[in-house]
Amino acid sequence: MRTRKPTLIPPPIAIFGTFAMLLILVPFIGLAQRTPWGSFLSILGESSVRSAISLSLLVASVSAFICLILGLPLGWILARSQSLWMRLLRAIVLLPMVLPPVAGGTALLFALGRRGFVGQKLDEWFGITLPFTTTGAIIAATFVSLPFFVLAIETSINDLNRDFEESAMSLGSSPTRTFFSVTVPLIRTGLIAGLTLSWARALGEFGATITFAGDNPGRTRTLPLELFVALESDPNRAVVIGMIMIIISLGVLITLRGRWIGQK
Amino acid sequence: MSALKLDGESVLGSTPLEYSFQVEEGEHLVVIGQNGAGKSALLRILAGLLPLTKGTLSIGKQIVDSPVENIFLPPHKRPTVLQLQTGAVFPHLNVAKNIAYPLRQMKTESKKIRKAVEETLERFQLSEIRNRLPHTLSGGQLSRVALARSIAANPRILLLDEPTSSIDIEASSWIDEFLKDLRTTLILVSHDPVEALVIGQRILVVDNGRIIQKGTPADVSTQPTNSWVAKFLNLNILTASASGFEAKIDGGGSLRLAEKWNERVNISFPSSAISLYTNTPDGSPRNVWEVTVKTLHSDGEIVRVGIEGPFKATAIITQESLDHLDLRLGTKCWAAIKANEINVTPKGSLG
Repeated sequence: MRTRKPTLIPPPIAIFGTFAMLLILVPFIGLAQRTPWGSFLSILGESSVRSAISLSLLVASVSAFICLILGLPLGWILARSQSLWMRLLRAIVLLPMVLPPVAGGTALLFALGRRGFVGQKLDEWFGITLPFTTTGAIIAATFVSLPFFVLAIETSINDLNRDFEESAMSLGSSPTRTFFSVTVPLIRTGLIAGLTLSWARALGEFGATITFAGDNPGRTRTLPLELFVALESDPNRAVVIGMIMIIISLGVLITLRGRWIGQK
Repeated sequence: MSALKLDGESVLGSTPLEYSFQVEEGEHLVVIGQNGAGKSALLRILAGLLPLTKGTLSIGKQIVDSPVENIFLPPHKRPTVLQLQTGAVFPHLNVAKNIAYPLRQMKTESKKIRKAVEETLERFQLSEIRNRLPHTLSGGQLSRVALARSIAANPRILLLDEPTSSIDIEASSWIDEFLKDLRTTLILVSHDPVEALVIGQRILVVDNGRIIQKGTPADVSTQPTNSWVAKFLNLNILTASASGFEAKIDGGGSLRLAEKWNERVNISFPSSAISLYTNTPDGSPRNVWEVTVKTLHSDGEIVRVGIEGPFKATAIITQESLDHLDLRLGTKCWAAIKANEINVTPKGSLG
């Protein structure tokens, strides 16, 4: 005889929950059924697509690396500082997370663009212009992804028992050594999660990039830009590029399954 | 010259703290007090984790904290090591690497570090678990690793915050024996009266952020400053060699035990378990020995009687029975205790 399991999900929850699931699932199914699988590999092999992929990976990886170098200290400061000013600063630092990327890109343009108040000096003094360069694309991607990393670090440090750092210092370790030999190893789970999250955010970055860095094939035309351009000329290519991005993102999520899917 | 001298004030949260005391070179000072009395805060001040707001702290000849003179030596530059109550054994390092940690902070050659780690592992009986990570260890093992690491740092003054809390009795008596024989200057916060009396050469009673009593264990237990101290130190502690039901007390005399033991043991019994008689008590075969009354301290209702026979002890009796027995300083009488009132723990052996 089969044992019947008791119903655990109340009907209204099941209905609305299913709708929510469909809302996310259906577009992916739409994309998958529309994908010209026969020409998938040939489109993937096109030089413009390949260059967009490698540019995207480069921009996302460099941006994640910058997040690590700059965001780790910032996260530490935000977690440990008690001052009122820091709390205000914290809100501003996290702003790009909720700000529409186009607005962020506009802000970058008026600061670091050729006529921006910093960009103008960069051009005059060093001959550096950021728009239409890969550096510009990296800056745009870092601008939007840094808060994700900083937040992950801040949360991890807040959760960390201070006994470990205090003991390390009492055992003769300087604050700097304590940071690298105790704090960083102990928050590595949060650090890796933050790194992946900011990498994924940088990979999908579109709005700030196109506004600030513009569309320059081979230099700033990352996968999302390539997709946007293709949508107007060749829908088949657009679909394939969309599929590529789904595969990369799904790969990232599965790598982090311990955090966001299943595994309890 | 004293090893450490503190005369200063600080604040923890909203609790004002004010301490004044000193420790001699090699002395073992035990700090006792109720929860939240400011015992841990005292250690934090000494270690540099809680700065003074007023006054001076000096270690040896060096002033390490003095707000007026604008001197503050950070924790890593002080010759102290504070072992926190949690032990804080680094979870990402194995046993040997935890012990090597303080040595790596000094400019020591790696050859010497390896040798020192090896010796420490041996001394703390940790060689077999040297490669294990902390989360695989028992509470007793963890507390030994924490202590081994503190000792490896070779501090001039060792600060321990309840190093034996929440571990089993065998592990804690091993640690207590180790600390008792340690030559390093030691300041130990303890929640355990046995530990306080076994290790402490001097006792500091802290209450409400202040030191309310200082003295030798004998002084503090015969003249406790308040009822909490009296209850806390309501204990007699002796070391003995047990064979069968008999325990030969170090220094003379013997007591009959309720169970058979065949090793070196610590014996403890509450002061209130001792009965005093002016004539030889007869009846059940109890532990009876002849004593002389050496001290008498009354708080109105109960009297703490310091007695000396083959060994010293403190008895607590009521004022009424004191009057009835007509005890005075120098009076000879009989002390008795039931075998099942005597608590026996093996002396620092790890199975």
